[in-house]
Amino acid sequence: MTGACDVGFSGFRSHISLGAEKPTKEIPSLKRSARHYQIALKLESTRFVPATADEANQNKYKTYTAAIYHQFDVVHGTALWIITNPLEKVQPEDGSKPRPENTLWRDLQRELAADEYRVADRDLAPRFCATLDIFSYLADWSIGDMEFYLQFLDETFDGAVSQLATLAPHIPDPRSNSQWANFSRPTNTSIPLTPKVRVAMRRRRSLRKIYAS
Amino acid sequence: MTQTLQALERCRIGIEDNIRVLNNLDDFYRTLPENLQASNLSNLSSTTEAEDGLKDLHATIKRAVERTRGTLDRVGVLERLTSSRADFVGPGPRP
Repeated sequence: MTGACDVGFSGFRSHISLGAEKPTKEIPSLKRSARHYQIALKLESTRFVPATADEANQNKYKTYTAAIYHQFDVVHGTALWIITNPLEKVQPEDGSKPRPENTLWRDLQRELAADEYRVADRDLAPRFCATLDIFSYLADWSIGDMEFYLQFLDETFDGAVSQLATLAPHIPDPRSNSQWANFSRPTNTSIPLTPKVRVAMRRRRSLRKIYAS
Repeated sequence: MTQTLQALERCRIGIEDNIRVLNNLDDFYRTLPENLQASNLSNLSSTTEAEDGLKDLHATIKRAVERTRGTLDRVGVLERLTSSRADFVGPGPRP
């Protein structure tokens, strides 16, 4: 099949063009030497979204996907960034109407404001380091609140299971160790202990050992 | 229950993608000084400031990958735990 697309992992692409193989692309007046590298990547971050006062929503977790493109000219030290992130409604400090904003870009600008001199430096190395700082920030950003989100999912699932266990009384409460200890075989013979249940109980015991250790 | 299992699956896919991206980014900046040197452009990466910046970036990425990998392990445990619970309790009462 000709012209097939790459269906593999496309979260990261890079291209290095450091030689002077394309002299016609050089535009000195725009500080473009045609010697540059390009990086395009996609990162996800799950973050906690607190409930707003005016909206009747609850606290929740949201996954943000950011697509980032970066180009750095290794001769002139000029950098190009394109950072896309879903816009969020942000309440301005002056109390006016909420407006959509790219919060990742906003936070990145705030982070860079402390090192603004590096971005505007005449030397190449400080400018290069400023771009590295941005990637460091993005790497930290990608961690987000995932650990808390997993805790939230675990608790939510526990709640759902307990509710079902209440509806079906022959099944012990998954959070109660004493009920599990007494639960060897149901007294009601109309509810057989199927192999599927036995397997689930074995798996549960082994997982309890993992958690206990 | 199904929603929780689907959410866990989405988490796992996102975390695995992030780890791949961060590892690729780390590899890219590890090989960049060699590429610059090969093109006689080592003046960029050979300065102490640039070397320190690269070291900081590698350390940050390494830390981020380790933490992300930790959450991935937790997703695995939760997936096993929730699927065993779901198997045991069953699909729930019929509406």
